[in-house]
Amino acid sequence: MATINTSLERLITNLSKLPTIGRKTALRLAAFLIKENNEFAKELADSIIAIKEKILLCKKCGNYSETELCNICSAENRDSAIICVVEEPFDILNIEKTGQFNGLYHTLSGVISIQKGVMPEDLKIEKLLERIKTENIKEIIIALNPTQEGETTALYLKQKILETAAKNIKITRLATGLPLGSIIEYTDKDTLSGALANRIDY
Amino acid sequence: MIITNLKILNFRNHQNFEQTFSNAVNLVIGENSTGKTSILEAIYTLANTKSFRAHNDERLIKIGTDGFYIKGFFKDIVEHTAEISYSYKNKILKFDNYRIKKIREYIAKISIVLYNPLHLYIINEGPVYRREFINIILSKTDVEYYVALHSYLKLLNEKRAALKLFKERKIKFDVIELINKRLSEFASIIVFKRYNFINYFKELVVEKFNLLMNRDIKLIIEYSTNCLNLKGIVKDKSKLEDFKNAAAQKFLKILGAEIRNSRILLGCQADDLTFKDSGNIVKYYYSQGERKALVLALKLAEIKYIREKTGGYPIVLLDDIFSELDDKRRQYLINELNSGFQSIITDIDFNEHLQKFSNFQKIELKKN
Ligand SMILES: [Zn+2]
Repeated sequence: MATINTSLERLITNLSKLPTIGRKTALRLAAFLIKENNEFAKELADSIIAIKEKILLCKKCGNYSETELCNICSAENRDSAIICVVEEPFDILNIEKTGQFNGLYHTLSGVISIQKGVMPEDLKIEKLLERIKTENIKEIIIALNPTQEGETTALYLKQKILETAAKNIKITRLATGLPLGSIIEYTDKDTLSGALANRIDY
Repeated sequence: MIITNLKILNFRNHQNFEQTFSNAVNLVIGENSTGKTSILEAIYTLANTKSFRAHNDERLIKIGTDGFYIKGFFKDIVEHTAEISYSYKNKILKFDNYRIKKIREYIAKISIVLYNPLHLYIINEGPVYRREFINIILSKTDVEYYVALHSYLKLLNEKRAALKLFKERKIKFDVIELINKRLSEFASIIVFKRYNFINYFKELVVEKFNLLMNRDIKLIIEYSTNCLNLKGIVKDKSKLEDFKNAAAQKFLKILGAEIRNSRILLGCQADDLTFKDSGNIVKYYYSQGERKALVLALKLAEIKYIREKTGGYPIVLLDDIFSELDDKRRQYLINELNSGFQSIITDIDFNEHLQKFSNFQKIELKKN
């Protein structure tokens, strides 16, 4: 087998570490970058370095942010009595796209999965309970993906919220229009809007 | 529902096979190893997304090729197409040219009933074959059942992992308790549906079995589960809520023992059916011929159940059945098969039994 140029091999190896990118796609991307002009490569490299240097997780809700508090947590016109609980920061982007929700968020950074070794204490659940105690929260919307792990986590959250927080807090879930197992990230805007508007008591 | 046309590429020993079918009786005639059963297996795989005799899809691929492809043209009120392709461990399902990613959105699309000599396992072998028999009928006629079963199996693995971690002190009790509670909920849905199904289905089996045997047999089919005490639900056996409460109690009660033993002691993965005649267990009491007739009765009951449940007849696939029956039972079966639904029947030759069909298409397979 003929050896490929080592700098090319290095790029291909790195690209194929990205999620959903196999070696074949990595090769195609590398070929594209070789053809493109230098400015594009520089811009791409800079933008990658910039997210590593600038993007942090919001101290309060776990959203992507360039400042200590994200633009949602620091906005004045948001309803701070409602928290929407999601798995990952990307879910926030998708719910924001619907324009249906004006409250705050809380990112758990995953869901409970015994087989993968993810326990409640690995998630930002304590932090959520802390927020419920200290902020004046009236409603928690659980917007986890309707997978088995998501369902287990939702039930765990419900129990903990009722145990530790004020009893008169309202817990709701997205309407079951969302097909079981669908990922919020991939659900279209209209379906998600409907699920949010018609949320149900949990 | 009927199948009008079937295309197969690189499946079992078929490299490139295409066949049209009539809407009544289709006789597939060929010596051994001409691929008769593989044609039924292809239709079965298209309908159920997996084979009835290979646990590994890899084994369905023709040796020396990379993958198989099956396409069927179907008709109920309108025409449909279904496709399944499998290569490099990647399975793609399509219905009416649309890709379908969730099996639960596909599983009920094509309704079939298959008889294969291996189905004698339902009577002769362990409970897993009886549960599979129930699981397939219910999954294909009740999507809620399919979803509950799959959720249950996923949670069962979570519980196994949890019991192991608890021994190593890596998980808190409240998490195990939660998984256990969710598991009990799906178990109760499954038991509720199985219980109601068997109660109804057993009447159909007895009816078909008596017609086949031409006498009045007191056949009893009993469903058993350890998830809850079925006799204990005295209030109303048609209420799911009662099943849920009963299962939740029993699952919680036994959790301590499960933790001490680090293993699962309860669940509908141990459910079973018992067939009895005058108090005797059929498996030991019946002759081989009687047991075969009983399996056939189960299949004829399945046809009737699907007809009642979905409003249409299933496609009936019978693999090598006539050699296994005596004359009276054969005649009864021929009468049933003449009653207006589509069937595809395999045999090694066009014998005198098959010649009794009034309206049939003959498909002959040659060794290649
Ligand atoms: Zn924030």
